[in-house]
Amino acid sequence: MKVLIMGCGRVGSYIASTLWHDGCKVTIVDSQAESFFLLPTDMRNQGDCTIVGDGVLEEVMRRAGVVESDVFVAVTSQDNRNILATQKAKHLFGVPRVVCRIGDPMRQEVYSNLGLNVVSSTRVASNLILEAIRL
Amino acid sequence: MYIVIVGGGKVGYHLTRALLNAKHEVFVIELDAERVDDLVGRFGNMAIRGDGSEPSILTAAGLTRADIFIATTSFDDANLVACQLAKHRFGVDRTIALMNNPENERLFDILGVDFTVSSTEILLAAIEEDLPAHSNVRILAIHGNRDVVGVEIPPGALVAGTSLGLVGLPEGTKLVAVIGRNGELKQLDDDTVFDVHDEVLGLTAVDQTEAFMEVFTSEE
Repeated sequence: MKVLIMGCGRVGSYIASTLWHDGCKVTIVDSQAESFFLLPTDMRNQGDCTIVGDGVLEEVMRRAGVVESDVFVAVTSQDNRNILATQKAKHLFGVPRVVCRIGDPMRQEVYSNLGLNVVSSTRVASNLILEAIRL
Repeated sequence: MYIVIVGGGKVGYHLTRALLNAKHEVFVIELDAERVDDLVGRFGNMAIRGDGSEPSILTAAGLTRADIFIATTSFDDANLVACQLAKHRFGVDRTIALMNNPENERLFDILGVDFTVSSTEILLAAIEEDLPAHSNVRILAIHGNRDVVGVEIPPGALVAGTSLGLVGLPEGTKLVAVIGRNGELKQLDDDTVFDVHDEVLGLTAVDQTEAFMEVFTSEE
């Protein structure tokens, strides 16, 4: 399975390394090269897994192999960028499966209703903390 | 009409002035506090500070009752999200987005932004118009993958001297106007004759633009 990930923060790097160790072909894009230090050394040394660039741009997406990708995942910290990139991957490049991280619960609702595969950790994290407070 | 605009920068500001002069009700959402103060100072309580892609701010702007929503920030992703929220969450009939990167045009169109304005495209068209080597220019991109194009009939073109009734236009294209070299608008009927240096305006489907231009510039 070929997976293209936009955003190499804590979430992106964890997803990337997990999938990579599972044997998937992973490419991860981030605008800053330093972000890739969050990846395991052997994955970083692979050479063709990481791409420095703005994952929202068509030419960067193409360079990262979006056309052959089975899955596109947008997990930067910015909702709007994730939303734009995911919809681009889905509607322009026809990537079969896309996952979009959206922090804002209201935006999450709108885009889920629009049929976008959205994952939001904000409510989950908030509820866990509330539980911890109440105990 | 009630019109909500995101972005109180140059574009948003002048747009606001023009719309207010035309007696519309306008509300502006802007991130920069100083700009908001400036707008409120000039026009009254018609601006708030906030991110136009945030549902809560759009609610505060009374977007539900807006007739038109216009996103003019310098960030395409924010403009896109703002327009999608306006359409799908607030039910706004007409959404308009300023698009900074022309490559986003198709996507915006697919995702339901009713009208996109690409400043880059407009500037390019203006530049191309000045280049003598180019005898044709794309004037406007219209929703639904259509272009309005202008082409000047060059010397040596086969169509010069032919009447409209005898000219075959490509499928999906329509002749809008023919302007003579002295600026006169020619009557459009079968007997209208095309002359060198006439400017021909047409409405074409995006993939027929080339073919349309060919009709008026081809020399064989």
